[in-house]
Amino acid sequence: MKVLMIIPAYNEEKSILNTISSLKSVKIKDVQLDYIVINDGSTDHTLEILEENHCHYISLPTNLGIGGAVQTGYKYAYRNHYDVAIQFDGDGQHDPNYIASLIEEIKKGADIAIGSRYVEKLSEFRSTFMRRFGSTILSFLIRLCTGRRIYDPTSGFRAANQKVIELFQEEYPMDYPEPDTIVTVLKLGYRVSEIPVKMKERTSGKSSLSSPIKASFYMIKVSTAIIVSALSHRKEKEICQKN
Amino acid sequence: MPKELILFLLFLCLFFLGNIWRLASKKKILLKHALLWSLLTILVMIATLTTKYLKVLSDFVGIEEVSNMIFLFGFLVLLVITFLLTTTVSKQKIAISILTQEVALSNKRIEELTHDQHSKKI
Repeated sequence: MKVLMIIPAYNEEKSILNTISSLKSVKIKDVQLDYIVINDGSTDHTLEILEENHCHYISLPTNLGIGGAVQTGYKYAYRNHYDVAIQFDGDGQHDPNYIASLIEEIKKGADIAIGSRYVEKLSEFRSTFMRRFGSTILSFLIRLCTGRRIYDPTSGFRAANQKVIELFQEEYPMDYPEPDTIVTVLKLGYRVSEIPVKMKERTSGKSSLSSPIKASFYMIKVSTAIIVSALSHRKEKEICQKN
Repeated sequence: MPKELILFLLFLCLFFLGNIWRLASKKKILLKHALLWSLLTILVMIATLTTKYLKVLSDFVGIEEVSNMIFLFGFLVLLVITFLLTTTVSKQKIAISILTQEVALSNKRIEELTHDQHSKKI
């Protein structure tokens, strides 16, 4: 089984090498585990570090945002016939020990498997009240739109099978795509499962939602995206029918 | 509406029309955008020249001065154009994202092919 780890990286000069080396130590039976870093137009030395260390990377000439970077990874996975693609943050928050569990979920028949901080109390991740409150609202909205409860709709640690890789390489939201894509795949009747994972605090850099204004804007934007996604998924349906 | 104001508005519209087509002939704006701006400018000119009929409309909506009605009309026209430009910007953002991704993926493919060729030579 060919598995591709998609690592979006924007200004991750301090953590990217540690992330890559943590992935290189992962060995799973009958799985060829490759990785690709998507340098999203970083303005620090991320690109130079990737070049100097002969890392496997794709460099976007301009910053497209998380959605554009991740979609580039899905396009690469699709064109190189990978069986599974796993999103993995470049900032050291995700634990590579859970990669095997995500792949196992896909083998069991899930189309998309999400590493969730809130399924069981495993996480060392100290979530703030506001973060949990935001996550609860998004979970509620997703449940309202799809009838399914997703405990951690903003988790970026997720695995996708070939069907979902094909869907995402054609159509993927550019900004804050995680909750939006969950609604799309659920509406299309794909099987989504969640497994409990531990997440760490980011080892370096700053969250893009550090200020209350940005966090509020994020909530408004994502909530709207969920509702719009639930109301209209014609293009994705056409892609599915084509498959 | 005073004749001087009508003349002034007509002069502005004609100057604007001339400028639009000067830019279009230099290929600095797309023909479809030049046509859109021209159409809307001509509509403003027609509104300026038919103040008698506009008076009926402005009385109907409760605007005392016909000139204010023309300014309102101009404002609405600008709103329409801004909205059309928003749709253009959105489409262009999507197109630029796709192009950026394709450039990056093509560079990666070239790098892989070059690496393969180099390995074969060795």
